[in-house]
Amino acid sequence: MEKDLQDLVAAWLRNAELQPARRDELLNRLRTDDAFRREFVGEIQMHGYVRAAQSAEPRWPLLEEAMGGHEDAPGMEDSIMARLAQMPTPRPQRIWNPWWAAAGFAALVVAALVVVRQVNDPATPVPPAAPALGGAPQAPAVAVLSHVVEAAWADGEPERQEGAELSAGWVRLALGTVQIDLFSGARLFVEGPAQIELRSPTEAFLLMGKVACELGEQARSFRLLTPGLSVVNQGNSFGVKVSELGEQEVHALEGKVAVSRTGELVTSQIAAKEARRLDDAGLLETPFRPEDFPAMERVREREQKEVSRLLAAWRAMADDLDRDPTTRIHFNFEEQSSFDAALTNRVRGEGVGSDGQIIGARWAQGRWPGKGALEFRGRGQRVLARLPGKFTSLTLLAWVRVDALPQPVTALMSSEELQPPTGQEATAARPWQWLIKANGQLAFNLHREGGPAPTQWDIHPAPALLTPERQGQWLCLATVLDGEAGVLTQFVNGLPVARHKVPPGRLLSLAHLSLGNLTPADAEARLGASFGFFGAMDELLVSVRPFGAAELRRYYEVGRP
Amino acid sequence: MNHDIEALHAAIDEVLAGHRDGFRHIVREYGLGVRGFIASQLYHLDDVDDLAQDVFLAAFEALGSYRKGDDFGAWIRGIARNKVKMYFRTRMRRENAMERFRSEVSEVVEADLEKASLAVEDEQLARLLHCISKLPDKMRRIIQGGLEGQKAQALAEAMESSVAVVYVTNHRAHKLLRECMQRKVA
Repeated sequence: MEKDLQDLVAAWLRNAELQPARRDELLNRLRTDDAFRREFVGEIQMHGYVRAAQSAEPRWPLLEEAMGGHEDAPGMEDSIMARLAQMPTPRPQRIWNPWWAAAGFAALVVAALVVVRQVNDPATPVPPAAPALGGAPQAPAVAVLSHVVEAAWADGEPERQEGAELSAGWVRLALGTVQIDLFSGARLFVEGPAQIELRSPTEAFLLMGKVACELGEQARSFRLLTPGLSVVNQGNSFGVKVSELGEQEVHALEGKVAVSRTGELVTSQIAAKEARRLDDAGLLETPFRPEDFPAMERVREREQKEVSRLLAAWRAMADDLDRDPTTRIHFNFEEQSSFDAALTNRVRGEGVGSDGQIIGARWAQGRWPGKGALEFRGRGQRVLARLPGKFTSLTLLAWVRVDALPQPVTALMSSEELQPPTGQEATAARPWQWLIKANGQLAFNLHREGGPAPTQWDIHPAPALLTPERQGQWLCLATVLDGEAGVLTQFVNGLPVARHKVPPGRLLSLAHLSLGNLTPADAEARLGASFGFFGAMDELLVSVRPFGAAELRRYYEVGRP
Repeated sequence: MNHDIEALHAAIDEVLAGHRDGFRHIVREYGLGVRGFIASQLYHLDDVDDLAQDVFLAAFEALGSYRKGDDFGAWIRGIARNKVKMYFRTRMRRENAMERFRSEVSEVVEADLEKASLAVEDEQLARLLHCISKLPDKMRRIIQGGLEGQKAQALAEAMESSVAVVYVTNHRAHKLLRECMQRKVA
């Protein structure tokens, strides 16, 4: 056990005090040395499990006598159940989502249109587990969640992502800071813990927490209500805080602010750089403390740090993928110039040097500032790649941002193989297609034995999950074909969403790959069919081994923006 | 975590239908995992248990928002993570530099700890006590003794050894435990 690890564990367990310089040294190593961090995590994780397993009184006799299995401490269980008795029964959330109806209707329309490619009997899918991709707006949006910095949502709140539209309703933040841009032009910086209800583009109600509100020149007026106050922004910025005990303060951060007590018509003006607190006697002067409120500069600074941390964690994981001997293609879209016409394959083993050729697609920003991506705008745009060999198993993983699904079928990736003459089918590698249908179904099509291209496909669809509310967000899509077991599984954001049985042992080829598009067959071309992808991609992995569900879940967790 | 998903969903349905006794199943199934997750970050075991209880109460309240098909372990660890963050945040205001240091360490390792938690199978946890019992005597003494507070020093004295040796032995014991837990599952 090396000294740094021992010192860190000792400090963590409160057995040692560390000097500031030593603390900085260890923190720096934790941040920069992945192996060291993993070792430390392994140590504290096992320590936690051992302590938890042994801590309850009944545990020791169990350990001494039975030495197998465990039951949780009855004390804790009973204590929880006793406290539950005083709580109301939870209710299932019933969310009516207009997009589901729209998607269902679209699916009917699309089903009639997609016959060109999908006239054959699809393989029977095993009923998938319902995925949990939530976050859909329930009513017309009134704002956009523009920035999320070190935030943790309160229990029961959806895991909102940056860029999500917000409908009228409550936003409950446990920790961190978020920037909410209302459609009126008002900009709210909310610091957790906070509970705020967005009522309309021009009004919000702060029950608890701290909010700084800015109004630009283009914005309309905005009113922030609290349990005792009504604060109207007249074109500058103000801060409001409501403590858990109900103490309320208003600070005029820039320019003057109009304030009135709830239920009163009289309005007071707070001059710039002054503050008032609500008291039984009215609004009293209180020290002006702008530093108490989240400010754009500080939010940006913290955001920058968080982005750096996330990017570093993803880069470490991406590096591991490059070293994996089963990885044949890993486009991470990093360290490339916006003029590059080739996409660098980062693998270190077989496949090294087989870069992609970019046709028409443009360089853009990926999941984080500083991370590259390629943006596709349909039609002819694509990336071509070639890889030798035939394989029975395959993992395809891509981080994509789907901007639109304007045509019946959109191609994510496909192999475009020339068909060998009849009679050689048994040994030939089969073409395949990785697609998204207009109704939001991810699908993997595998060419049938002996069938003429392009109509004879076994289609393996997932449920329609990539629905309009997911468009514009970064999604982790994966398809795993376990050729030995004869199972094909689709994943969205690390969760398995569909499983299909496929004949085992089929050979697949990666020899001619097309990313983001698909060359239509003659008949399709005559009908004007187009398969071009509208969106962006900032990571693509092709491996010739089937990845496990836990592994894909980890890649999603580390890679999610 | 490989819990019985059908039983979990049945328990959730039961609770949502007003039969709160179904929640016992969830506490039993996820109790050790949640407490272990919290105990890996918090020092005082009393705090661990208090926080674990708060986590389960919050999970009960929010149970209606859990979406079947999600990893329930990850969902409840999300609640636990928030509670731990709040714990550190409230303590940071009044505690010393070492407490702030631990809070910073906790933030830095957060993603890795979640990743590591995802990788631990339920059966592995269930076998932990059995695996402890299989450790060599010296290691078992250290593992059972724990290393908190002055215990490392006391253990070292009792075993006529040094604190460094106690840490190294503990480290090796963890490796053996991990191997044992994985071997049994395989």
